[in-house]
Amino acid sequence: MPLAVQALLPFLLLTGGAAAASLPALRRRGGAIAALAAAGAAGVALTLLLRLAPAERVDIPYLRAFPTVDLLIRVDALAVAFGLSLLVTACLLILARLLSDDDRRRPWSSWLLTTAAALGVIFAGSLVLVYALLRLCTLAWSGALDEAAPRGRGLRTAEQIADLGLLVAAALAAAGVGTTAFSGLPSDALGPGTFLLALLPVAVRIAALAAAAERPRTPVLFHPAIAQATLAGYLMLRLIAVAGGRPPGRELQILVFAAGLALAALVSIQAWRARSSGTARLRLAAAQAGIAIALCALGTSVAAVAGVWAWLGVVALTALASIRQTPGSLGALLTTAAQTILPPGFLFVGLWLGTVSLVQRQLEGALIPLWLAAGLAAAAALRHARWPAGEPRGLLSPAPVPLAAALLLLGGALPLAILPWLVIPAARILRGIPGGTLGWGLLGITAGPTAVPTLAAALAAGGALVLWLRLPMRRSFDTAWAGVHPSAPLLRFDLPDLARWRALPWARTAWLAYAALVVYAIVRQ
Amino acid sequence: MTTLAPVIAFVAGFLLAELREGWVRLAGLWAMIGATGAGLALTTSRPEEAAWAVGPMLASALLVSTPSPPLAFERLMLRTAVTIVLVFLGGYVARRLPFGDAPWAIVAMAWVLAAAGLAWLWLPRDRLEARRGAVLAIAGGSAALLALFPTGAGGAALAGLLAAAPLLGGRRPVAGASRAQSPPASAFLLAMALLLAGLALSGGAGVRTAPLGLALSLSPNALAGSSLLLVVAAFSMERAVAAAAVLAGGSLLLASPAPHWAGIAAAVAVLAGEAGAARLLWTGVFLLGLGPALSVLIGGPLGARWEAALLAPGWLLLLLPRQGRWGGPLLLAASTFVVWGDLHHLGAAGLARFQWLAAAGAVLILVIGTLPPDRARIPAVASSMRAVMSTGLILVGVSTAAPLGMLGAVLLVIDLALVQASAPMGPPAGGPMASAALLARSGWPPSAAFAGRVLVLLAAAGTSVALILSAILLYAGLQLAPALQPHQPARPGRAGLRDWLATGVSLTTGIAPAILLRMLQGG
Repeated sequence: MPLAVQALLPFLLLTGGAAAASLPALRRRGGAIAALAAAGAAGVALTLLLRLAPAERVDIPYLRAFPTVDLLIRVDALAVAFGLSLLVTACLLILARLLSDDDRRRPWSSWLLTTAAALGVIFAGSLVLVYALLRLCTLAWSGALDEAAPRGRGLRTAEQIADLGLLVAAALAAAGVGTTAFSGLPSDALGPGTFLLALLPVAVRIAALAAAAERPRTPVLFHPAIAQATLAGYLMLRLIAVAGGRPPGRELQILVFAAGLALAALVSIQAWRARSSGTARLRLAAAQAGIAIALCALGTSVAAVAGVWAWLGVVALTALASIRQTPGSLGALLTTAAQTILPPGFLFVGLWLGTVSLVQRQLEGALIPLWLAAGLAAAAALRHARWPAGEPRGLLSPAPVPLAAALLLLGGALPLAILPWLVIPAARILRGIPGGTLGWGLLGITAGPTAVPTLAAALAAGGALVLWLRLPMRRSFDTAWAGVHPSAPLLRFDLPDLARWRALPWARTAWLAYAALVVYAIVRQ
Repeated sequence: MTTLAPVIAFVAGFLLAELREGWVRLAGLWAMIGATGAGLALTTSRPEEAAWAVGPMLASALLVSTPSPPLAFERLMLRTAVTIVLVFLGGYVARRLPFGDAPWAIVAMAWVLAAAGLAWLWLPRDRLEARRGAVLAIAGGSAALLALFPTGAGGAALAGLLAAAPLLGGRRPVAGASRAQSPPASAFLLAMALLLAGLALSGGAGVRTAPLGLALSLSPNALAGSSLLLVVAAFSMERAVAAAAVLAGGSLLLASPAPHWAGIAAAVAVLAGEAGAARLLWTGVFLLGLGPALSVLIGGPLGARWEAALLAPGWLLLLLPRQGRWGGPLLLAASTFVVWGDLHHLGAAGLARFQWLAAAGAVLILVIGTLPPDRARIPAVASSMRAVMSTGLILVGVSTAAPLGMLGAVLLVIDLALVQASAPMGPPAGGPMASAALLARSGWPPSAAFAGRVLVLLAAAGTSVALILSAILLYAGLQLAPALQPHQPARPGRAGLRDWLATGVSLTTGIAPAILLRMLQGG
């Protein structure tokens, strides 16, 4: 099958599934149709990924009807890896929702269309097309054809304003080089200022991810993993790839590194103070996104692998955190274990690779804040961990969660299951990875002269976690902590009094200023 | 003696027109117009230019009526002061900026005629007098331009006939109201629009000379602009709007400055409604005409600076006031194409000045748009923040002088003039295309509004810092506008033919604006 057709298949499956699920005759089977559509699309994405040659990049134009913005699909390992991750995540969430009895609503069409729009962002071949599809994705998840609709207006508006940063960056890049297509952008197309502008959509989506924890919980939240975590991760990595593998300018690298760690630390503290484990899990997902941002700023080949690994992990962990889990269930425990960052957490591999990268760049001083942030996140995760208790049926519900979390833990313990075919090819798009940079085996991974036995570390840490959860002193710690209530928010500010500002003669001043400018335009030679 | 007679006739006619009523006033007006016509022939040394006088004389005769009610004392004094100031201003300009070998008093008659018309427009005793003032204003302005840019009998006669356009305003019971247009007439306008669009796509026909020396501009831009205006007229189903569209669209196709300007002024005269907004519109129209005139009279770099500096505020004053459901969008569309055409006459320095003023104008629009109407200090500003800010983006788009910017501006014009104006009460709530109609009216992709905003921003980024900054502010304002305005629910009922057409136009041009770009660039 030609690549041009194969690249369109996932979209056709998703939109076709959305249309079918909305038909009255098929409404009862809508969930199954949605799951099948997502699974089928994931299968196509997997085929694409396996078909791609190492570091292969293919641009497929479909329509040249928009000046400077062709309808262009870019197929490379980074896009396909994230596309696959997105589709598998969507399938997981749909299944979890299907198996849940607590909500009778049928959101299948909306979910599939959101997935299709997010997939479009991932496969878009130019910055302006990415922007347009980000807007479509916001429309899809919010359903707000009427822009003034009050539901979800705050987040919609925040995304609209932030995404404008990407469009401005694209416009400035186009002014310089005449195109916004990824294949036509040189590595210096984005300066530090434009790179920061282009990062605004990433920032607002991470903030939305953290804020998702505050919303009333439904059995499954679809948007945090699909429309926020995945897109934030993909955008960050794609921008890094456009910039040649690292944020442009040393100052910007430091800024991004520090901002990521600060975010991780702050949100981890909020996760620690959360009243419920469900809220804590979502906040931890945002904290892990902060760690992933910091890893992306390091700018080495090893760090590129770390960044891709970390972001793919964030997507998966956000999906697990978006599913309402009974406290004390096996799924909750396994999800918490996967979220600890330290072993047996999935992100430990990324953390370790980031450490190696810092040592390679002789920036050992930066290890302290990195490990401090990771430690805070791990502590927050462990704070809410509970040993499973209750009936076996309740322990295993919702059904796909324990299996998915177990697979994640396995992936973190045995990186060779994921690295060679998913992570490394995607990382090669960010920057070249010379042979010998990384090695992997059954027991662990090596990076240069250093090695980490991931399997052994995961088993040891897992055992320690079990002990900790079963220890009597843990129960007294919990009792002591239960008496401490979360205090007032860290930040508090009052809006300034605007009445005084509104009373100023703005219109008259504006007209006078304009008239003065006209006179100046005539007089000035 | 030859030059003294017309001046004496003009002064006598002016006094009669100001101080008398009925047929005596008509005689005075004819004396003024006749003297100005004679002056034109003397100034240009071309007797055929006097054909200009036919139209204003006819129009004045048709507007004669019973005496108008007297003004209150304060208003009368104000009007007298305004008249004296404007007349002296006209004479001063003619005295200080003599043209060729003609005595300044001869040239001054055209300026004073226009000044008198403007004074009657600003402070009319009744609507009939406002119409008379419009006739004189258009006649005087076109006469001044004819003196500087002679066009031959055809152009002069047409410019004079266009001065009769205020008659098309009709005896409307309510200011701004218009009679309905029949569906066959709308269909005819649509067919003509398609024909012009086809001509534009095929590359146009350049500049041609019609009989009697009338110069026509059949460039793709002009044809596309005329086509769009006719589509707006077809959508409006209102006779006054259709008349204004034909006048404005026709003016785009005229290469000679005098009838070209007179056509726009005629469209304004047909559409101008409430007094406050009308004053702004007329000021804007005259600034648009004054720029090219001063560039010739003053000459050199200073003249070019005047031309560039007056073009931006003139356009701004045409854009801001609200003119009803269809009148405002029509003026928006017409002025966009007029200014786009005028930009090509500016040099690099003039264009830079225009861009600065356009950016400042866009910021002014942003300020005005975010203020409550009672604090905006502008009579009848456009009703929604979205309309105001889209107008600002149109300003930015055109001032980039780039095809991409103009394309973005045209898309935004289509959004405001066709899509939004088609359904001011909101999109239809029922029927199969409720969602499509909502999408077409929104700023989401792939609506025309979204495509226009993106293209304007792309074009501004490649032009200047001022334009990109103002474009960013306006774009951000457009994102916030829905949150700041009251929620408008969908109107009950199903979509009509106009909703279908508007939706189709918005989504088609939003997905594939390259079609429009080909039309603007001629294939």
